[in-house]
Amino acid sequence: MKRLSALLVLLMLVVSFAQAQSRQVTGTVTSSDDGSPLIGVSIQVKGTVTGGTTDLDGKYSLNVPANGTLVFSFVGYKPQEVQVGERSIVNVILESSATKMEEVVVTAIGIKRSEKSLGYAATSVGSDDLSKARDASLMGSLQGKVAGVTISSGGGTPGASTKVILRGYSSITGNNSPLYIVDGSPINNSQADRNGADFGNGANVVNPDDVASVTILKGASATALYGSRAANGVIMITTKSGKSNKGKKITVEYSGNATFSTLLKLPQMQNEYGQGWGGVFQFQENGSWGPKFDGKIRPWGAIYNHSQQIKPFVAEPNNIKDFYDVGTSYTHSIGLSGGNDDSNFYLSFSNTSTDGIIPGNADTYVRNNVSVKGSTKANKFTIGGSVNYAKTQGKVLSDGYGGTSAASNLYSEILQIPRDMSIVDFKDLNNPFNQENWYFTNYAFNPYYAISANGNKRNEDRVFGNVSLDYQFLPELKGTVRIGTDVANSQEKSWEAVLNYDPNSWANVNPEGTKKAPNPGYYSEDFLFRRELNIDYLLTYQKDITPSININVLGGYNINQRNLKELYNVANSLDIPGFYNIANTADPVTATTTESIRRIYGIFGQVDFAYKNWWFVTATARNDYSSTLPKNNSSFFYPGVNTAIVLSDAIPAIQPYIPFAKVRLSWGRTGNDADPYRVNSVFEQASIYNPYGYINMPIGGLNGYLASNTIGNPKLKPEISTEKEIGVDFRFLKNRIGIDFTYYDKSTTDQILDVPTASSTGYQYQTKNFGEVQNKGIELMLNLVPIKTTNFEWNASVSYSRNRNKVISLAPGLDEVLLRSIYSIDFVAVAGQPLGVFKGYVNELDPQGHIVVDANGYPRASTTKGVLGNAESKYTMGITNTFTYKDFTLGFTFDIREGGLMYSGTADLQYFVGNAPQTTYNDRQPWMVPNSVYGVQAGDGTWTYSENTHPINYSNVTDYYYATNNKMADNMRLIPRSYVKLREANLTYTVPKKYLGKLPLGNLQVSVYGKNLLVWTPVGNNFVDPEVTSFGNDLTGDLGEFRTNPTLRSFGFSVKATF
Amino acid sequence: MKNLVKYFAFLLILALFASCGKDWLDVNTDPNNAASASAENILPAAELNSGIAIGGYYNLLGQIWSQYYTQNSGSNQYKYIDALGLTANNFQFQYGQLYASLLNLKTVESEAAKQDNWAYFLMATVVECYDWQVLADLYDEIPFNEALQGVANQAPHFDPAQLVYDSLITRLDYALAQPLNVLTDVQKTKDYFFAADMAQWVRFANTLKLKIYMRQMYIRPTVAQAGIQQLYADGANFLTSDAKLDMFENAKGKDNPLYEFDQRLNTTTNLAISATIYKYFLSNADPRLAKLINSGGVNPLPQGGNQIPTTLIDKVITAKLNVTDPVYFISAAESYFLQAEAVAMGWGTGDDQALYNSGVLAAFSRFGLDGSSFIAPGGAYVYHPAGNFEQKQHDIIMAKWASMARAQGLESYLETNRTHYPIKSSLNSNNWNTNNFDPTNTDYVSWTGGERLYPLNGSTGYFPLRLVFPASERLSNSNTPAEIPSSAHVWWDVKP
Repeated sequence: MKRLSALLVLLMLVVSFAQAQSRQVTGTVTSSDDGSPLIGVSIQVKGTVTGGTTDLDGKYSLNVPANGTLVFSFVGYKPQEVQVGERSIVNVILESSATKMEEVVVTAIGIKRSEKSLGYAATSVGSDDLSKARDASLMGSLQGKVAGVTISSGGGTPGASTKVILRGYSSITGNNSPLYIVDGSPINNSQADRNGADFGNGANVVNPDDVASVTILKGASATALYGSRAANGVIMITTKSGKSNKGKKITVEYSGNATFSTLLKLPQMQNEYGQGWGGVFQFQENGSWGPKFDGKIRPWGAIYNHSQQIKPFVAEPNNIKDFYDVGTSYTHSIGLSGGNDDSNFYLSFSNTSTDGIIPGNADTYVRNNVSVKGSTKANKFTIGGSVNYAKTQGKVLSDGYGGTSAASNLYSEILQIPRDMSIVDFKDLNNPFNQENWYFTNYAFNPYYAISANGNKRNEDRVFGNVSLDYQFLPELKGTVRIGTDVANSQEKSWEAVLNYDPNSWANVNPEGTKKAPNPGYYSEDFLFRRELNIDYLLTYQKDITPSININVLGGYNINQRNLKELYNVANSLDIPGFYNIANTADPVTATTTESIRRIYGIFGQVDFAYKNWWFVTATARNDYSSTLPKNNSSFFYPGVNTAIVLSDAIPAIQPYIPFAKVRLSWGRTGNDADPYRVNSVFEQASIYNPYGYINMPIGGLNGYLASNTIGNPKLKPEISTEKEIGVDFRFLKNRIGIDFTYYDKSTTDQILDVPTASSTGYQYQTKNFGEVQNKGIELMLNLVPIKTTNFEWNASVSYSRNRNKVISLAPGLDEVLLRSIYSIDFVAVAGQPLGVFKGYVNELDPQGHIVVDANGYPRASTTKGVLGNAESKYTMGITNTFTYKDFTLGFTFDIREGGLMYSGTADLQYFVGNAPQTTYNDRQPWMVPNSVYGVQAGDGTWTYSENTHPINYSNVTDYYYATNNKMADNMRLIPRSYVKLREANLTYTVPKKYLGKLPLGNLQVSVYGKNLLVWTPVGNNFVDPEVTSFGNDLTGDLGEFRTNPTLRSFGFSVKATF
Repeated sequence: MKNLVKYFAFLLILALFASCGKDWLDVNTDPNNAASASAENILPAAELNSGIAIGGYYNLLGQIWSQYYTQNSGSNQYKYIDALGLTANNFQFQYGQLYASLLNLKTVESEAAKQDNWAYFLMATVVECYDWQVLADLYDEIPFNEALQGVANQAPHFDPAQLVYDSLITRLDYALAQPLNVLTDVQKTKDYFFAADMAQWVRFANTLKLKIYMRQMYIRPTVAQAGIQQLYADGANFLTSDAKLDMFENAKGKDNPLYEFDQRLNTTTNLAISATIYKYFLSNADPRLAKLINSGGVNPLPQGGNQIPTTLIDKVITAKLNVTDPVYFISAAESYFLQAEAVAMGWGTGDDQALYNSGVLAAFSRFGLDGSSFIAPGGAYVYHPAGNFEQKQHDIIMAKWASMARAQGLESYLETNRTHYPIKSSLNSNNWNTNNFDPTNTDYVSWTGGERLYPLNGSTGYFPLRLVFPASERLSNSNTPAEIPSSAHVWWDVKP
């Protein structure tokens, strides 16, 4: 596959002239390693632009002028020059090079460079690695494989978003997501998320089967050419192209996968105590705070028509597991490609169809991709283009904070079912006891009702691609125009069923005297149109000034425009139940439209200098003009410089000891542009906050406007990141040991943030630039080939990253910035601490350090909140082992994260309802807080302490775990984020050609694979897979999860065939 | 090939044209929000904004602290209010919301003044002064003279409430002195209170002045007296109808703000009727009780009794709220009670008993009820015209307290602090309900309904007399004074 990617890359480089007065030369290129044919070797007639590549059998055919010299080059092999002379058949054996440093990498603006010459860290991953263990999203398959990249998924919802963060967070409230570039043109990666329904992020629509390689550019020097969009790094995706293929007309590739998913990690639950509250059996409670299981037959739940259900009082240990189905996902992908010396094409179709683990079809994801790509050369022109069409259809249930009413978060309903109930027995919604009028508790909803009554559905049509035109003015000078676009049109619908209770039902008449609020029904429609247009003009000049000095000069001009238009309609009540139409309401439909447009143009340039192929210097510069900045101050400059010194070539004497050694140094500056419309203050249609919602005009036939509570800033600047980076790359023992080490230090200043202002100014916030955030870290890649024999090879790679994030300063007078809070836990930015500190109540202590308790025996909370920890990891590590024996390949990857805390809404509910095993502490008998004193505070603030004689009594044990009574209880919800995951395992068998015989197959591969097979978490986390998030795809996502659908373990098999 | 060349040239030219110069970047005008708004656009929104703070969470605070309602057993939402120990983090949003209203009202005033639209100027000024008084009464010291200046002054100094009070009278007098202009039909529609009926607005302004003076009765009797006598000397008219926002709709996001956040959540049983008002109304056979409660319950909840286990209490009577309940600024009944008290004090002219009776009748008629039997001789609420001022004030304020349930919680709480009616009971909720609520308990039987009980699970030991300065203000305004505990009296709260 590496050969293939190199082939694609080289193909793009090849420019040919129509030739005359020449003759046909043919031949085969083979490898010196094993004599196998080499596919995609680049062959060029020296001193001309004429060339070609070898086909699938390693064969080539070229028109060569008399006495021409052919240059054969191939990634991973030493180039070879051959005088043709009078021969018409030239067979060549290429020797593999000691290092693979000639590998070509796609860098910023789509410039291809040899990896050897790069002065910064760039990681390139080929399609092989991307498809080993099939992940629904392209980036998901890189988990644990690349140092300095944090990739996490949003939970077990089909099509859920994938969060990618390069080298830590640098923007406090701005965007920390990298820029995605497909074939040179940016695509939109925003997340579609309304009502807590995660429909995935924009980059997820890229079909992994279409991708030839992904290059991750992390540092500012590497990305400075993207200027004000590059502060968070760039992910360069190169799609497959057709290949010049004389032997056959068309190559057909097929790949098919079937994947099956089950729950990876459910909360551990106690199975000793059953339904009840405060230690007493209560047949209408949603908690397991009742007595110990005794096996006696008890009536439970509602009294309906003078009857009540009975069952033995015993645990149902697998009640949640039994509820979920096995999820299925099938993918078929077919690609056709072909071409000749002048033209090539690639065409593919792919279908992915997923049904998640929720019973029925409430969570599904279907995606169809069609891609067409081609290029043709005519004289000095090369014209190329690609169009990708993706249609996605998703259905999900809201989770996390989603939904506008109860019952719209399915997982919450499941988690609060007492331990003695069989959930699958709630399935029959015709059974009165399972209906909402008579469901056993008034505090929760039947999960099957939640599935049937709520939902979200989204359709998206997306087209992205570009056309490019190259013109070879001179052999050294090339001009390119590239126009790219990404257009997405989506409709999302969300609904909640009308629910009215019978006045005499259990929902209204029960021993607790509680009444469930009826649901008048809900329906919303969201129409969203997004378009990105990107135009690049490039001029590249390549010159060998002397045989030992080469320069490349690039100049360019970029125009970028991003539009968004959204229409969001909401009906807050429905007339005809079950008829989901925006007009089916007596209430006025609330319609909101949002439009935005932003434009950038930039001028950029790059100079590459190479001396004797061992010293490389690159200088880049870009100046951006942005529409979102103040008119008179919209210009910003982003310089960068880097150098690479290949010591092993500069000082050949060290080669016997260190065959390859390289040092990299770089410095660069990038930006994070302001969002549109932050410069001027505005008046907004009155939508006035009222706790838990808004009161919206028009009311009573009157409309009205209020000054926005945020003051615009006519002096706004972009956020600026400046980054230094140093790295070394060493290879020993014939490439058997490779070490790549990087240290970086990045500082992001002029953070754009709505800084709280004193309310008495009349405003709540002002948009400001201020403060500084620093990210320092190391990235280490270790590549080992411990064993290499003819038939057996063991490859191992270890990636290790350690990022230290620190808020250096905030705005003057601002001690901390609240990012988000959940109950009493605040997630804040504090100067001197990593971005994302958890604060909450801390124990009130007496002067001797004893915990002070109150009359109920609960620990007293201090009046001010203290730091409880932060979300930052100490390190992350990935370990991949690959064993190849003949035609079998076995690989597995461990992904490790150590350190940091997260909030768990699942833990919160598990403590509250008494399902958490922790709640069985001391057999739920009264106990006293250890090492505590009883304390009371007098009116003047002074404390008196005495011996603690206040146990947490029997009925208060329940309340100890909930923050309304024990303020300290929220701290129990902070759990360690560390994990070790068996991220993937795969076994692949490549059927040898001899067995394929007369079948029209070029290649056949079958694999079995598993993804997220096992997860180990520390003792403090027996609740969730710490990777799940509910708070978006950025910094606040690190706050944790709020009852997000559990993650999945998946198994599957795949077939790949080439015809 | 020529076509290709043409195409290339065309694209090049097209793109260059598309990007010439800074005009192309001039797209940063927000299409989703208005760059400017007129006085007519802002006034109704500013009225609503004030109303949401006053009729929403502040009202809830008052409903609970005035012991009309209490947190229901088995639920937790408002427990912290019942416990009395509010922190600097509570109610900071409402504080900001009033300042936001004030900023917008200030814009209305300046826009209106530019156009000699003194009618709008008066309307905005009355609402503005109402909001300022609420802030001054809750916090005693507030940013005032230096407030509402946006970036120009990000750390306004706090001014004492007395200065605020004096300035409010000046502002109201100034607005009242301007010549009222004739409004267009469109302009007339843009007012929720009185559809720009300026005679009503003048009454609203006068009644607000009366309220401002009456609040100073004990701290500055001479100022209060002189001001009120001047009002009467000038022949001021007072409100005879409610100054209220009464346009709420039965729709999510368009309904009464208290109802919206209390009743549209997952439970409608967050609030229970407090035993304090329940027993008062019950012992007086007052039909208004039925308007405060939902049917189906058996017992009220002693104030702060939410901890009593649901299983140990017979069905709690839950509190009634209506989706289209108006938000009252000054009710007709309140206007009459203010006048009655002024007359009883000898500062106003007229018949205090007649004014009192009008107030009681207005309070009953709010629910469509006839209260005449209650003020007739032998009635439960009959006025004591022969009594001393203290006796009269007791009658008036108890009637006022009874009139403000489910409507004007905050004003009721402030008036209780001024007059000390209803009185504090020597008992507290703990006396009869540590584990159970038993209506036959002798303490409960001996307790007179309408006497305030220190709530069960109260955390302060006293009834709070003010709110502590909001944390949001302290965080961003370095001129915020040192914290003053909620046990400290506000400046006018000096009744012996």
